[in-house]
Amino acid sequence: MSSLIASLANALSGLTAEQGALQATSNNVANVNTPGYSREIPEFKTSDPVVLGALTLGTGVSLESINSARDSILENRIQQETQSQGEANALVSALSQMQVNFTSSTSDIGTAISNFFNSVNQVAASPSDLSVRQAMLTAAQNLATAFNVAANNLTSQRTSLDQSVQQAVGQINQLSGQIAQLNGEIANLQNAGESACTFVDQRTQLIDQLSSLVDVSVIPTDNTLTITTANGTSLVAGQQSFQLTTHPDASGVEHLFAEGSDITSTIVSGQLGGLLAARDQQIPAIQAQLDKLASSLANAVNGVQVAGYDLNGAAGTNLFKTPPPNGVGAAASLAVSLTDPSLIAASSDGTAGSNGNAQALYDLRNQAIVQGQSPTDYYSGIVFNVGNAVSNANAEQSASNLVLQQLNDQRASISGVSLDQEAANMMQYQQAYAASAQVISAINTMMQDVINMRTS
Amino acid sequence: MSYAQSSNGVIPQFLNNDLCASPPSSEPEFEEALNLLRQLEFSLRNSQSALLGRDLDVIRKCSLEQKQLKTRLARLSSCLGLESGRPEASATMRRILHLGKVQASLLLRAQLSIRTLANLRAGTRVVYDADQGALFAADARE
Repeated sequence: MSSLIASLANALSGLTAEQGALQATSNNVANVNTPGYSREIPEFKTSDPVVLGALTLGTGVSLESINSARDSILENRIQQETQSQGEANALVSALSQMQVNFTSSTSDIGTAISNFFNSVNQVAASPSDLSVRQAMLTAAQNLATAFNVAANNLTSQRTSLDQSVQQAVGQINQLSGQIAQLNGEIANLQNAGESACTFVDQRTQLIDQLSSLVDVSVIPTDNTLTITTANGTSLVAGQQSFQLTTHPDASGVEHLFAEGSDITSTIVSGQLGGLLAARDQQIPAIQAQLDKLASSLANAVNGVQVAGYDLNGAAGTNLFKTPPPNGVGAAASLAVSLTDPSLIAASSDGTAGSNGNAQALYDLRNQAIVQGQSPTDYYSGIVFNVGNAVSNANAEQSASNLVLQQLNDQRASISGVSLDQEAANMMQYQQAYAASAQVISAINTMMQDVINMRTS
Repeated sequence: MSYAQSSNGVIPQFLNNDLCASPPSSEPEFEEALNLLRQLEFSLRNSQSALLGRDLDVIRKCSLEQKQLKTRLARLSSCLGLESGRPEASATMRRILHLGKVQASLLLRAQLSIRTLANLRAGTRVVYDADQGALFAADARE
């Protein structure tokens, strides 16, 4: 009788195990289209046998665990590539906006420089003509406006990027908090010996989202994990999350702080890394070049202007307002100081018909007055730098998209649900369940026979 | 690779220098150069796919092909007319530049990936070199 009951227990364990496996299969099938879902795999284990004298009797089967099909190395690579993609996306977006300022148009700086020197040439041709002189003042004003507009647009873009940085930090804090909470739930389930696959999937998705925002390192520990930025700043440690904060510096630019330390310069990847690179490196570099061009051009023009004589025979005065001594902010503040066209110093000898100084002014067009280059060549260099930066960011974005697509395909092949495979598994578990049920039925008949034998 | 600016955008320096030495070009020379550029673009697309699929044979074949095409392009003394309104040539060159940059990025990623795998396989038995990675340190020891 005791061995019949043991057989019954074995069959029952089979029923329970197959039922659990079928539940995993049904969950897989239900989540076939769920993004980020990892296929569940039931792990069966033979129960510990019982030794009775010379006999070793099996005690059935147990469903040891239900594991998610995942490749940790692949997921690590996906997180790394997601960071690169986030950085590239942010850079492409920021640099493309910056490039608009340098697109060829009727009012861009390059055109304004050409128009200004053409108007100077007209004055050289007709030094006494007041209408031509007025046209030169207008061209100078247009040149100053072109610099002002470009510089102000770059400043506005930096302000806009500053706001994006704050938004990104808010998202990072929110995700860190959610991951810490999931860490707690996963640890509780795993400590109780239960499956936490669903929560692990959710956590993986949140980590992917976090990776797109900032460069993170994920360090698994017992039943939980720690997440830090690339330089080791903790974002999540087990069930605790650490908030990043932003504070403006003296110039109003937002800096990132973690536990009181400024970590702005240590963020090098992810969307935040891209935003900071554009805000703190790319745009300031272009701003500095524009300032250099504006101050050098204004100083050179003013230098020639004061060396000549105006239409009244008086010594020339500055055409442009004197730029700041160090050049910082020169593009934004460039302005024409003359309002009277007769004050343009076209004459080199004080006579009204002389055009020597206007010619000298026109000659600046091809002279190396900006760091060894002519103004137009220097401006072409700026346009090239911007175009090259956009081109590089686009290429980086393309590469990231290609690699990430491939990695996600690989993850889908490992972790994704195959309906064919699940159908085969379902038949297998169904048959095993039916067989166990058949064993129970047979044992029931046998036990009935035993009972009938005693009563008869 | 260095780059130069043209009225049509940024183009690879080697193409600009090598092909625009003595403008203007004759039509057959231009067609030949354009054909080579198209082959180069096709080869770069193939090597990109091979790089993603880690197909070393195709990567090697494409690299050799690209080197030969570059040499043949450099031998042509004609100008592709970048500055004189040959949009098909400059458009092809821009695509080649983009593909070249993407390929450089993919190669860097492949190198990083191989180094990571090498470090994982090497385990703790090798002297780890921070610059070279465990693979190279392992090779050096052997």
